[in-house]
Amino acid sequence: MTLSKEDQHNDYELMAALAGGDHDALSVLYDKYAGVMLALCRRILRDATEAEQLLLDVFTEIWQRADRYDERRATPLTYLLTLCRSRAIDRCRSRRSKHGKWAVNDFTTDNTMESVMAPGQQPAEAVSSGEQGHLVRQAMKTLTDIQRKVLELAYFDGLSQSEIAEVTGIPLGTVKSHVRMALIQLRQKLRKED
Amino acid sequence: MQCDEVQELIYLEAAGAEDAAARSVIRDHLAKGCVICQAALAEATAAAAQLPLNLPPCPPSESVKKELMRRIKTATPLSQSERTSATPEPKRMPRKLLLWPLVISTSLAAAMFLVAILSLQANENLSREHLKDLTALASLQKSFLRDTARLSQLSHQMHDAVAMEKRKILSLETKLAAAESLKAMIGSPALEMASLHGSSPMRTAWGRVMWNDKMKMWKLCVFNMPHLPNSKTYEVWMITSGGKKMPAGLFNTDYKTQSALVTPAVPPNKHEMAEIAVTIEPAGGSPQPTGAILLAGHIG
Ligand SMILES: [Zn+2]
Repeated sequence: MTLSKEDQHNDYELMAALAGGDHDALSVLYDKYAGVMLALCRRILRDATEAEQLLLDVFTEIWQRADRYDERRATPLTYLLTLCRSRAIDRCRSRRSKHGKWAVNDFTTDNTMESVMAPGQQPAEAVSSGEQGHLVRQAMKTLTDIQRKVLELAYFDGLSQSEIAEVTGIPLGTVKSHVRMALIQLRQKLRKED
Repeated sequence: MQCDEVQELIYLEAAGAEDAAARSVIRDHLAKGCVICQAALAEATAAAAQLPLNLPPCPPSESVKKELMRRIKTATPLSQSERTSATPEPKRMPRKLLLWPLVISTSLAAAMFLVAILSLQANENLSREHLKDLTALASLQKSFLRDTARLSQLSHQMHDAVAMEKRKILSLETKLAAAESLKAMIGSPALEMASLHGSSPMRTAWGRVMWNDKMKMWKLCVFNMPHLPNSKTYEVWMITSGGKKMPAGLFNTDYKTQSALVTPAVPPNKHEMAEIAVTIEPAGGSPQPTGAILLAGHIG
C-alpha cells in the first residue's frame, strides 16, 4: 500500500462521495483498505471467521454513518482504522466478559506479530510492502522492546493502563511514560519522512 | 486541569489504554474548546493508527465484498436520507466555509437553469434565442462543475496546510514553555550548581547539574556521552550520604552532539542526597544500578 499525498486527497474525495451515497466510492475504499483492516480485526479477535464478519459490519457502518466522518479531526485512513479497532476491541471485550476475565498467560506469550501470520511467513516479508508500511516498520524498529510490547498490549489487546501494569509487572507510571514516549517517537519518525 | 496534565493522558487514550477517569478528564477539557489538546489528541491518534500498517495485510475472501455490496444496495446512508428529507441544504456544508462561494454559485446556476426551463415550457415556440441561452447555460454549468472540483481540491490542500501549521505551533509552544521554565530556574538566586566528572571507560564525559529548591526543579546537562542503541539506556541515580541509590530517570544522548539535557526526578528528601551519578542499564531502566558509574558529582 502506498500513500502519496494524491492518494490521501483521493481518500477525502472518496469519503465525500460515500456521504453522497456513491456505491462505487465504497467499493474503491474497500479494495484499498480491507486488507489492512482485516489484518487488524484478526490481530485483535484472533479468529479468521469472526474477523471477516466484523470487517463486513464495520464497512456497513462506514456506509450508513458516512456523515460521522469529520475531515478536520482525522485523515480517512486514521478514521477507518480507529473505528475498526474500536469495534474489534468492543467485540473482544464482550466476548471476554462472557468467558471470564483474561489470564495473564494470554498476553505474556504468543501475542506478538508472528503469531497471527500464516505458517512460513517471515515478518519482514509479510508486512505490507508499500511506502507507508515500510516507514512504519522502520519507525517501529526504533522503539525499545518494552515500549513496543506496552503499545501492542494497549492497541491490539485492548488492555487499560492498570491491566498492562498487572500483566507485565511494570509500575503504572512507567507504563504511562512508555506509551507516551513510544507514540511521540512514532510520530516524530513518521513526520520526519513527510 | 492544565494542558500538560491532560496531554499526559492523551497518549494513553490514543493507544487505547485510558481508564474511565482519564477519558472523562480528557472529554471535559476538550469540551472547553482547547484546540492545542485537540490537535495533540488528533496527532497521537494518527500515530497510533499507524500500528496496523505494520501487520501483514490479509485479503478478505470474495464473499465479504459481495455481501457488503448486497447490503448497501438496500441501506441508504443516514447522511443521504437526512439530506433528501426536510433540510434543503446539505448538513455537512456549513462547516466547510471554503465551499460556501461555490455552493452559492452552483445554486445560482441551478436557479438560472430552472428559470430557463420554465420559460421554455411557457413558450412553446422553441426559438433560436432560447437554444443559444440553453447552450450557454450548459457550458456555464460545466465550468461551475470544473471550478467546484478545483475548489474542493484547494480546500483539501488548505486543510493539510492548516493541520501542518497547527502541528508546528504545538511543537513550538512546547519548546517555548520548556525554555521559559529553564530561564526562570536559571535566573533565580536560589539556583545551585555542581559539576559531574566522567570515569573509566568514559573519562571524557562531563556534566553539570543545576537545581532550584524553591521551584523544585532539576536539570542535568551531559556531554561527550555516546548515543546508546535501543537495547540500552542511561539512568540517573541520586545517592544518599549512606550510599542508598535512588533511580531518578532515564535518557539517551543526541546521536550527533552526544549530549543531553535531562530533567531528573526530584528527590523527596533532597537534604539527604550526597551524590548524583549516571550508569548504563538495559532498556527500560533498573531499580538498582547494574552497570558501573560513568559520571558522578557531589551535590550534598
Ligand atoms: Zn489543553
